[in-house]
Amino acid sequence: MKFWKKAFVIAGSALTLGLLAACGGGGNDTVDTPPVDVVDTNNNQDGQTDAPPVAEGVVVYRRTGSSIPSLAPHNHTFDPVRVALTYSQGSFFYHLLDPETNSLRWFPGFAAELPEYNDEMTVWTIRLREDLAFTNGTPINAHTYDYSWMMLLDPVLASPGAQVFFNVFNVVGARAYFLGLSMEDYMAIQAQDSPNWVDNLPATDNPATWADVGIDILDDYTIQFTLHTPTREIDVLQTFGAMAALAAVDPEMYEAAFNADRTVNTYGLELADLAQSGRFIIVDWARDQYRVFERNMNHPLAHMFTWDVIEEFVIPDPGTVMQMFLNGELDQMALNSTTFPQFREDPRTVRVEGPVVWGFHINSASETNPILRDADFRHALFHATDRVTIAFDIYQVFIPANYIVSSRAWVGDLVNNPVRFRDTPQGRANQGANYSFDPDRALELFNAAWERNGSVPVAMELQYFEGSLEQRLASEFMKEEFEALFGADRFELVLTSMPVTASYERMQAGLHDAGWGTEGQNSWNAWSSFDIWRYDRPLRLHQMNSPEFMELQTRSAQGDLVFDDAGRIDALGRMEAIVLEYMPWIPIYQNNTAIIYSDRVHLLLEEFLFPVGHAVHQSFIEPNVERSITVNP
Amino acid sequence: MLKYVLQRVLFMLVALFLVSLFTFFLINSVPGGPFENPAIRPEVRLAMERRFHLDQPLIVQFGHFLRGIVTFDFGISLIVQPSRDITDILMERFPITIVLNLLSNFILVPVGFFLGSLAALKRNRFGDHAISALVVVFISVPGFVLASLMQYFLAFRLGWFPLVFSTSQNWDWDRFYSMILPVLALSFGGIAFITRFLRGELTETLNSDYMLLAKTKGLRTGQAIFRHALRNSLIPVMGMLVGIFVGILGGSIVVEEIFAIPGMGRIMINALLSHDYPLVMTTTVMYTAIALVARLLIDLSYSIVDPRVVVGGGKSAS
Repeated sequence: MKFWKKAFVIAGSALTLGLLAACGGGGNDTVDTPPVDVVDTNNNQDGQTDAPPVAEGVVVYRRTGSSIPSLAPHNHTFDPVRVALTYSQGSFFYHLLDPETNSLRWFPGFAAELPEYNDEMTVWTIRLREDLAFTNGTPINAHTYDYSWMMLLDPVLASPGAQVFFNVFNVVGARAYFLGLSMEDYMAIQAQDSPNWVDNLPATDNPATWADVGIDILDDYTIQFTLHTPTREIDVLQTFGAMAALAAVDPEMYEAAFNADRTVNTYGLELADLAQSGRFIIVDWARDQYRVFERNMNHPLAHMFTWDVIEEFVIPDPGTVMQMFLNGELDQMALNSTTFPQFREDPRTVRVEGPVVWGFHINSASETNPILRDADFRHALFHATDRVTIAFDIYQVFIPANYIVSSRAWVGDLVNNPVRFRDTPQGRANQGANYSFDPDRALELFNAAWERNGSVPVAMELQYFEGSLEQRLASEFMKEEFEALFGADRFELVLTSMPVTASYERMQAGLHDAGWGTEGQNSWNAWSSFDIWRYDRPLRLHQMNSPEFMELQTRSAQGDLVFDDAGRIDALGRMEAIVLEYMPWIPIYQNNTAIIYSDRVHLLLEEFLFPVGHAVHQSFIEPNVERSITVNP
Repeated sequence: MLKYVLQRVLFMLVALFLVSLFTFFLINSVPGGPFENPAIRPEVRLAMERRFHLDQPLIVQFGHFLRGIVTFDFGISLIVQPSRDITDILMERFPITIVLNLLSNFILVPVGFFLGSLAALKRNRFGDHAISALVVVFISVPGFVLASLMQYFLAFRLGWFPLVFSTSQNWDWDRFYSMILPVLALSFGGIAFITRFLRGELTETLNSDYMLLAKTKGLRTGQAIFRHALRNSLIPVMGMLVGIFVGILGGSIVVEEIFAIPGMGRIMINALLSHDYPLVMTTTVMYTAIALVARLLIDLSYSIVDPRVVVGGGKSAS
């Protein structure tokens, strides 16, 4: 036998043996782990722990996360960065599960106590603990925050994080200082209340100074804020409850990170250029690969968390994540429509309540497709959408939604006794029966709109996100259903795939017929989130122009209704009803998800409770896993 | 020779300028912008656009870009890694991609040549058919499918390799070991391409009159093949190598995602999708320059492979 034939046979045999071994090998379903050293799991019959037991040994928690491109507190526009910063930087307040009462509670963190306020609720005073410091030893006090926020609002640096002071927590003079306006010009602009005010900013020789900004240092440990409008306690707690952009920066390190002309600052772009103070500190960070956190035992609330080390891997491919989880290399895995059926009955699988409702926008001012301007046509699509099939059969983990405000949104007394908006009469009133799926009604509405628009065949293009299998399947399902219901000779749904950013940009430019999308919602301030439906909102994705809506939104977000719990719930219900009446967007599902945890995780809460979820940070984790990442010095 | 090289360098600079100009106006003509994010308030967007000169006319912005390129100051990323120096971003990502590329080329070139030659020499026999079948598989099955299969069987089921790229930040054994599967995945397409092309070229050459003459002159088959046939067949194949080289250099987004490799693929896609103009422009110019230099080197090497080829359009030495 010639050489190449021998080589071929040997290689083929090796490959065959390899594949046979692979197919029958059983794989690495178990991993060698150090012995469990548990003091007491203290489980009751429901599988819930009465109180978190104490683990002896280092608790390493392993999970996946998105890439974190930067840790610069002032510069981020990407949510994973914000989340990482809320770990690594100290916050004034923390919303945690109180293990003694098993209920949510606000705990002062870097603040010595909860904030104080004047009768008008426009002047807020926060007192800091006196023993705060960065992990490099630099003390943190009121002056540290004064410097940090002056840099945050620096007009030259133009940091996106500055907007924290412009919206719900609207600090006097902050916007004027940031934009280099005089206080007089700014007040005049504010008084005009023009939606396009940023397009015509007047030049000035007398820009606002830092002294004009409503942030005052009363003493070394006391900060006072003066706000434009009365603000609720929950909004203040929220603002300082997950501090990322508002985190303290080390003044000396920050100054050293400026370039020569102070136009660029590199603080936080590398780990060595970041001072940390949070409940966990990042000890190693490879931007697109992993980060390692360690519990900061000097943090005032360090004792409330059970994890000692967090290893977060950046693994973009869901298939790889699943293999790592099954290999015992991860402690949690988010489930999607493909993986959920496999783990649906697994006792380790828990549900997570999603923050937003998804659906598709309709260009109700379309010049090229007049039927889109007909409200009956849009309502026909609303009633023709079989949300149950889309949510349960296609997405598997989501829930059908014929409403706009997520079930996660809280209303009422938000600090002491919040209730879910969807559970209120006002919330329930906006939810039709059978998730509003009513083919007969849909056909009736379609017929009326079709006749009004000339009884000619209609085609509507629906943009869906490239790479989203579920969205494509849902779109194809709707195409089939709509065309069958309305008649394929009368209606055609044309499906177009495009990248997410391109799809949103097309909708912002009004170049679309219809497109999948959602908008963020603040679960503690749905009124503020409703500004997305204002007609004067820049980059809006809709063409609804309702004066009643605009007035209610202004009153409930920053006007006379802010402190009227009942009136505010009425306003939210009415605003939701207005949007559903106009129907610029067809709601379809709420993005509830599911997570499966490894056997070593014993969740404190079985039911999801926003914002702590299943309180996994506070849950008992068996300390039977060693670190897998060697921390680089 | 020197004159020819200088001429080519001059043309390369012109090509670079034209590519930059075209790309700059093309990406700026796409609707949207880096800060057109509904989560960013209009006053903040305005301030950010001012800071990065995005409120100025395009020609002025292009001037800023050109000045940066000439002084090797590529600026900072706007969105992908905000405020980070683009040079630092590339220095972090590029070495991983270039090592993957080189390792892939070290595999695909000799294996492709070996299989292509073998198939041509044994044409229409079992070896040729087996190799052709392999080529069909490698060409028709996408690289990411082969990558997933290898990951599943060889890493997950058998545990012979790590599932993902090593977290080691040094160029140590762990890192190289974790690169084996991605390198193989990136090589299959190139191997198939070279094998198929070389087989075709070599088969034609082997049937030519001068091969018959070489054998008649008393050269052994091996001598005739290596001295004459392979050398003649190499020239068109070498032209292909530039494409393969630059293709892998651009990074394979899918293979990078499967093995969680922090290479250039993801950064380029992110830069494009997020309208990170400085990063898009810098990577475009860099890849264009690499492709042009690689093309020049390949052209110059023709004369080494075949002395009858004289670079610069001069007369043949023979």
